[in-house]
Amino acid sequence: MEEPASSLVFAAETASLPLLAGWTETVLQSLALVPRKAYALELCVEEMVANILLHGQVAGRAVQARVTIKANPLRLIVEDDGPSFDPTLQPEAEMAADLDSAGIGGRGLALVRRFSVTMCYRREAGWNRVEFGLD
Amino acid sequence: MEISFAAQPSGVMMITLVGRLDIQGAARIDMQFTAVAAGNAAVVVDMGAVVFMASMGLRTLLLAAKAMRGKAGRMVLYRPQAEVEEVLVTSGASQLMPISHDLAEAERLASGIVAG
Repeated sequence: MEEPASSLVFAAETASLPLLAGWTETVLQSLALVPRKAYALELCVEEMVANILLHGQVAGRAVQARVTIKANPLRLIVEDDGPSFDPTLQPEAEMAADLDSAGIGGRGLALVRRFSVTMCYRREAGWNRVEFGLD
Repeated sequence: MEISFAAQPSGVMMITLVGRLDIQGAARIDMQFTAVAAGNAAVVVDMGAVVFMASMGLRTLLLAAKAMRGKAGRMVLYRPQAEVEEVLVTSGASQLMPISHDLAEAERLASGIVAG
Protein backbone atom coordinates (compact mmCIF):
# COMPACT_ATOMS: atom_id res chain seq x y z
CA MET A 1 0.00 0.00 0.00
CA GLU A 2 1.27 3.45 -0.89
CA GLU A 3 2.32 5.55 2.06
CA PRO A 4 0.77 9.00 2.62
CA ALA A 5 2.56 11.96 1.08
CA SER A 6 3.91 15.09 2.79
CA SER A 7 3.19 18.32 0.96
CA LEU A 8 4.05 22.00 1.42
CA VAL A 9 2.50 24.91 -0.48
CA PHE A 10 4.35 28.24 -0.44
CA ALA A 11 4.78 31.53 -2.29
CA ALA A 12 7.65 31.24 -4.79
CA GLU A 13 9.89 33.89 -3.24
CA THR A 14 13.14 33.89 -1.29
CA ALA A 15 11.27 34.73 1.94
CA SER A 16 9.75 31.21 1.80
CA LEU A 17 13.15 29.46 1.83
CA PRO A 18 13.50 29.11 5.64
CA LEU A 19 10.01 27.56 5.81
CA LEU A 20 10.87 25.14 3.00
CA ALA A 21 14.24 24.24 4.58
CA GLY A 22 12.62 23.50 7.96
CA TRP A 23 9.85 21.42 6.40
CA THR A 24 12.31 19.43 4.24
CA GLU A 25 14.48 18.68 7.27
CA THR A 26 11.47 17.41 9.25
CA VAL A 27 10.35 15.14 6.39
CA LEU A 28 13.89 13.82 5.91
CA GLN A 29 14.15 12.95 9.61
CA SER A 30 10.89 11.01 9.46
CA LEU A 31 12.05 9.05 6.39
CA ALA A 32 15.47 8.04 7.83
CA LEU A 33 17.06 7.69 4.39
CA VAL A 34 20.64 6.64 3.66
CA PRO A 35 22.84 9.75 3.33
CA ARG A 36 23.14 9.77 -0.46
CA LYS A 37 19.39 9.43 -0.95
CA ALA A 38 18.67 12.22 1.53
CA TYR A 39 21.24 14.37 -0.32
CA ALA A 40 19.64 13.55 -3.69
CA LEU A 41 16.21 14.58 -2.39
CA GLU A 42 17.50 17.86 -0.97
CA LEU A 43 19.46 18.59 -4.14
CA CYS A 44 16.42 18.07 -6.40
CA VAL A 45 14.26 20.27 -4.11
CA GLU A 46 16.89 23.04 -4.11
CA GLU A 47 17.53 23.00 -7.87
CA MET A 48 13.86 23.01 -8.79
CA VAL A 49 12.97 25.76 -6.32
CA ALA A 50 15.99 27.85 -7.43
CA ASN A 51 14.74 27.43 -10.98
CA ILE A 52 11.26 28.65 -10.06
CA LEU A 53 12.71 31.64 -8.17
CA LEU A 54 14.99 32.57 -11.07
CA HIS A 55 12.74 31.96 -14.07
CA GLY A 56 9.18 31.53 -12.84
CA GLN A 57 8.22 35.03 -11.83
CA VAL A 58 5.09 36.65 -13.23
CA ALA A 59 4.43 40.41 -13.06
CA GLY A 60 1.45 41.35 -10.94
CA ARG A 61 0.89 38.17 -8.99
CA ALA A 62 2.66 35.79 -6.61
CA VAL A 63 3.61 32.44 -8.11
CA GLN A 64 2.60 29.49 -5.93
CA ALA A 65 4.76 26.40 -5.54
CA ARG A 66 4.09 22.98 -4.02
CA VAL A 67 6.63 20.37 -2.97
CA THR A 68 5.44 16.82 -2.30
CA ILE A 69 7.51 13.92 -0.99
CA LYS A 70 6.24 10.33 -1.17
CA ALA A 71 7.91 7.24 0.25
CA ASN A 72 8.06 3.61 -0.94
CA PRO A 73 9.22 4.18 -3.59
CA LEU A 74 10.78 7.56 -2.85
CA ARG A 75 9.43 10.31 -5.13
CA LEU A 76 9.61 14.09 -5.21
CA ILE A 77 7.04 16.24 -7.02
CA VAL A 78 7.70 19.97 -7.49
CA GLU A 79 4.88 22.08 -8.95
CA ASP A 80 4.38 25.76 -9.70
CA ASP A 81 1.79 27.90 -11.44
CA GLY A 82 4.38 30.11 -13.19
CA PRO A 83 5.07 30.21 -16.93
CA SER A 84 5.27 26.88 -18.76
CA PHE A 85 8.80 25.47 -18.37
CA ASP A 86 9.97 21.95 -19.15
CA PRO A 87 13.38 21.39 -17.49
CA THR A 88 13.75 18.00 -19.18
CA LEU A 89 14.07 19.79 -22.56
CA GLN A 90 16.81 22.21 -21.46
CA PRO A 91 20.35 21.57 -22.70
CA GLU A 92 23.00 20.98 -20.04
CA ALA A 93 25.58 23.71 -19.65
CA GLU A 94 29.03 22.62 -20.76
CA MET A 95 31.78 23.34 -18.23
CA ALA A 96 34.41 25.54 -19.83
CA ALA A 97 38.01 24.38 -20.03
CA ASP A 98 39.32 27.33 -18.05
CA LEU A 99 38.11 29.84 -15.48
CA ASP A 100 38.32 32.81 -17.85
CA SER A 101 35.57 31.41 -20.07
CA ALA A 102 33.62 29.56 -17.39
CA GLY A 103 30.02 30.64 -16.89
CA ILE A 104 28.75 30.61 -13.35
CA GLY A 105 25.27 29.15 -13.81
CA GLY A 106 23.42 26.37 -15.57
CA ARG A 107 24.80 23.37 -13.66
CA GLY A 108 21.59 22.46 -11.85
CA LEU A 109 20.13 20.27 -14.57
CA ALA A 110 23.23 18.06 -14.82
CA LEU A 111 23.09 17.61 -11.04
CA VAL A 112 19.42 16.59 -10.81
CA ARG A 113 19.97 14.14 -13.70
CA ARG A 114 22.93 12.65 -11.86
CA PHE A 115 21.24 12.35 -8.44
CA SER A 116 17.74 11.23 -9.54
CA VAL A 117 16.70 7.96 -11.21
CA THR A 118 13.82 9.33 -13.30
CA MET A 119 12.57 12.83 -14.12
CA CYS A 120 9.22 13.53 -15.81
CA TYR A 121 7.53 16.82 -16.70
CA ARG A 122 3.97 17.69 -17.53
CA ARG A 123 1.90 20.86 -17.75
CA GLU A 124 -1.42 20.38 -16.02
CA ALA A 125 -4.21 22.96 -15.53
CA GLY A 126 -1.77 25.89 -15.59
CA TRP A 127 0.82 24.22 -13.35
CA ASN A 128 4.29 22.89 -14.15
CA ARG A 129 4.74 19.47 -12.58
CA VAL A 130 8.15 17.79 -12.33
CA GLU A 131 8.27 14.34 -10.75
CA PHE A 132 11.52 12.65 -9.72
CA GLY A 133 11.92 8.98 -8.95
CA LEU A 134 14.67 8.59 -6.36
CA ASP A 135 14.64 4.83 -5.62
CA MET B 1 26.54 28.79 6.93
CA GLU B 2 29.66 30.06 8.70
CA ILE B 3 32.82 31.41 7.09
CA SER B 4 36.21 32.03 8.71
CA PHE B 5 39.68 32.52 7.33
CA ALA B 6 43.27 32.37 8.54
CA ALA B 7 46.63 32.88 6.84
CA GLN B 8 48.79 29.74 7.04
CA PRO B 9 52.57 29.67 7.71
CA SER B 10 52.95 28.57 4.06
CA GLY B 11 51.46 31.89 2.93
CA VAL B 12 48.28 30.22 1.75
CA MET B 13 44.97 31.72 2.90
CA MET B 14 42.72 29.04 4.40
CA ILE B 15 38.99 29.74 4.13
CA THR B 16 36.85 27.42 6.26
CA LEU B 17 33.18 26.90 5.45
CA VAL B 18 30.83 25.22 7.92
CA GLY B 19 27.20 24.20 7.33
CA ARG B 20 24.86 24.19 4.36
CA LEU B 21 26.03 25.94 1.18
CA ASP B 22 22.46 26.04 -0.14
CA ILE B 23 20.66 29.06 -1.68
CA GLN B 24 20.48 30.84 1.68
CA GLY B 25 23.99 29.84 2.76
CA ALA B 26 25.48 30.99 -0.55
CA ALA B 27 23.70 34.35 -0.30
CA ARG B 28 25.06 34.78 3.23
CA ILE B 29 28.75 34.30 2.37
CA ASP B 30 29.01 35.32 -1.33
CA MET B 31 30.46 38.80 -0.86
CA GLN B 32 32.89 38.02 1.94
CA PHE B 33 34.08 34.80 0.30
CA THR B 34 34.77 36.49 -3.04
CA ALA B 35 36.47 39.45 -1.35
CA VAL B 36 38.85 37.25 0.68
CA ALA B 37 39.64 35.05 -2.34
CA ALA B 38 40.25 38.03 -4.61
CA GLY B 39 42.66 39.55 -2.08
CA ASN B 40 44.91 36.47 -1.98
CA ALA B 41 47.11 34.73 -4.53
CA ALA B 42 46.74 31.22 -3.09
CA VAL B 43 43.60 29.94 -1.36
CA VAL B 44 42.66 26.59 0.16
CA VAL B 45 38.95 26.19 0.96
CA ASP B 46 38.32 23.71 3.77
CA MET B 47 35.07 22.04 2.65
CA GLY B 48 35.17 19.27 5.29
CA ALA B 49 32.23 20.65 7.29
CA VAL B 50 30.06 21.59 4.31
CA VAL B 51 27.16 19.14 4.60
CA PHE B 52 25.21 20.25 1.51
CA MET B 53 25.99 22.07 -1.71
CA ALA B 54 24.15 22.31 -5.04
CA SER B 55 24.47 24.64 -8.03
CA MET B 56 24.03 27.90 -6.11
CA GLY B 57 26.96 26.90 -3.90
CA LEU B 58 29.00 25.99 -6.97
CA ARG B 59 28.26 29.47 -8.27
CA THR B 60 29.74 30.97 -5.09
CA LEU B 61 32.95 28.93 -5.48
CA LEU B 62 33.29 29.73 -9.20
CA LEU B 63 32.70 33.46 -8.67
CA ALA B 64 35.53 33.55 -6.14
CA ALA B 65 37.86 31.39 -8.26
CA LYS B 66 37.24 33.67 -11.23
CA ALA B 67 38.05 36.69 -9.07
CA MET B 68 41.51 35.13 -8.44
CA ARG B 69 42.38 34.48 -12.09
CA GLY B 70 45.50 36.07 -13.45
CA LYS B 71 47.40 35.42 -10.21
CA ALA B 72 50.21 32.93 -9.72
CA GLY B 73 48.23 30.78 -7.33
CA ARG B 74 44.69 29.47 -7.35
CA MET B 75 41.80 28.11 -5.31
CA VAL B 76 41.98 24.49 -4.14
CA LEU B 77 39.09 22.66 -2.47
CA TYR B 78 40.21 20.61 0.53
CA ARG B 79 38.52 17.42 1.82
CA PRO B 80 34.92 17.77 0.53
CA GLN B 81 32.45 15.16 1.83
CA ALA B 82 31.47 12.40 -0.63
CA GLU B 83 28.24 13.88 -2.02
CA VAL B 84 29.69 17.39 -2.19
CA GLU B 85 32.65 15.97 -4.15
CA GLU B 86 30.17 14.20 -6.47
CA VAL B 87 28.54 17.59 -7.15
CA LEU B 88 31.95 19.14 -7.90
CA VAL B 89 32.94 16.33 -10.28
CA THR B 90 29.54 15.96 -12.02
CA SER B 91 29.35 19.69 -12.74
CA GLY B 92 32.89 19.79 -14.14
CA ALA B 93 33.86 22.35 -11.49
CA SER B 94 36.67 20.09 -10.22
CA GLN B 95 38.44 20.63 -13.56
CA LEU B 96 38.63 24.34 -12.76
CA MET B 97 39.24 24.09 -9.00
CA PRO B 98 41.41 21.11 -7.98
CA ILE B 99 40.25 18.88 -5.11
CA SER B 100 42.68 17.47 -2.58
CA HIS B 101 42.19 15.41 0.57
CA ASP B 102 45.75 16.07 1.72
CA LEU B 103 46.46 19.46 3.30
CA ALA B 104 50.13 19.68 2.26
CA GLU B 105 49.20 18.80 -1.32
CA ALA B 106 46.32 21.31 -1.27
CA GLU B 107 48.72 24.08 -0.17
CA ARG B 108 51.23 23.13 -2.87
CA LEU B 109 48.54 23.15 -5.55
CA ALA B 110 47.18 26.48 -4.31
CA SER B 111 50.64 28.05 -4.35
CA GLY B 112 51.21 26.93 -7.92
CA ILE B 113 54.13 24.73 -6.91
CA VAL B 114 54.40 21.70 -9.20
CA ALA B 115 54.61 18.53 -7.12
CA GLY B 116 57.91 16.69 -7.38
